[in-house]
Amino acid sequence: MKKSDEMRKLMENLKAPESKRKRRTKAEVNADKAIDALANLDVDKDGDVDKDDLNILEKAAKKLKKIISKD
Amino acid sequence: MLNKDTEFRLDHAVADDLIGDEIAARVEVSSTPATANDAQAILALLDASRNDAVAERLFVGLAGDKNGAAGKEMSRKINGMIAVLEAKANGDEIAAVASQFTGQVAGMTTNVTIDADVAGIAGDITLVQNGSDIDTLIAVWNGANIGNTVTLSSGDGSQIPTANIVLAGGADGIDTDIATAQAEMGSEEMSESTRNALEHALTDKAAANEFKASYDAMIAAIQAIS
Repeated sequence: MKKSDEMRKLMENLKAPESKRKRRTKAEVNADKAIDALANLDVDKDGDVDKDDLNILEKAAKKLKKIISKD
Repeated sequence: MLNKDTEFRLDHAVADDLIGDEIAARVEVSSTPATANDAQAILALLDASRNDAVAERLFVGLAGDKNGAAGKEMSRKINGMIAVLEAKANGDEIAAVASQFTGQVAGMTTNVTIDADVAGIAGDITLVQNGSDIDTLIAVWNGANIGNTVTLSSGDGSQIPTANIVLAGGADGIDTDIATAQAEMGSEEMSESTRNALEHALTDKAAANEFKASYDAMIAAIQAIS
């Protein structure tokens, strides 16, 4: 999903009364970021992955590792 | 709100889908975040590390005007909004103070301390004497003011005051860095020359007008943060 679509949803949520708001967890936000980074992965002509995308993926991978090690 | 056509044109104008989407997401902010958590939720969808790329792409994408003024004007707002959101998200620099009453009034023989449960000036309340004891006065107040309750922290609540008990000293928290970030960003709506440059870049008048409407709404929402 594009960020602009997510932002529109968030704005609707923020404009709703407190009792009707949907809360997204930090894990959900990070997971969406990782999915977005994967879907839009920037690779240059040398085959190197965009630094920002790589950072997001590394963060998500570390979290996933933590979750797996707990299980 | 931007439609798909405008977003598509924006992506082309800045020649980068990711930066186009980042810019679109920022101008979609149309609601003023009331709390630090709300500001954080907005920031979580944005990427401040792309500020330089946003400025660069806007400068190049809107390069048709004199000295890149349009790109500079837009990036000041589109990047400046991040700093305002961060200022809101990082909480109050000067913490709120809870109201309190300590001592005794007429009719009492020993001191009591009554604290407001929620910090802020709203906690400066008066328990009006009516022949009830302190415990009852507090219970009645709390029942009628669920979001602004008080607690007898110490002392004998069975005493019956014959004068009002006034809680004082409450102060709201102060977020000192928001105004600075808002001034840095500026509150002016998009200038006509920049709108013209945008129309050239998007090659469509309606798309430029739609973008301007969202952009101006974003500025109003961010400048209303307190």
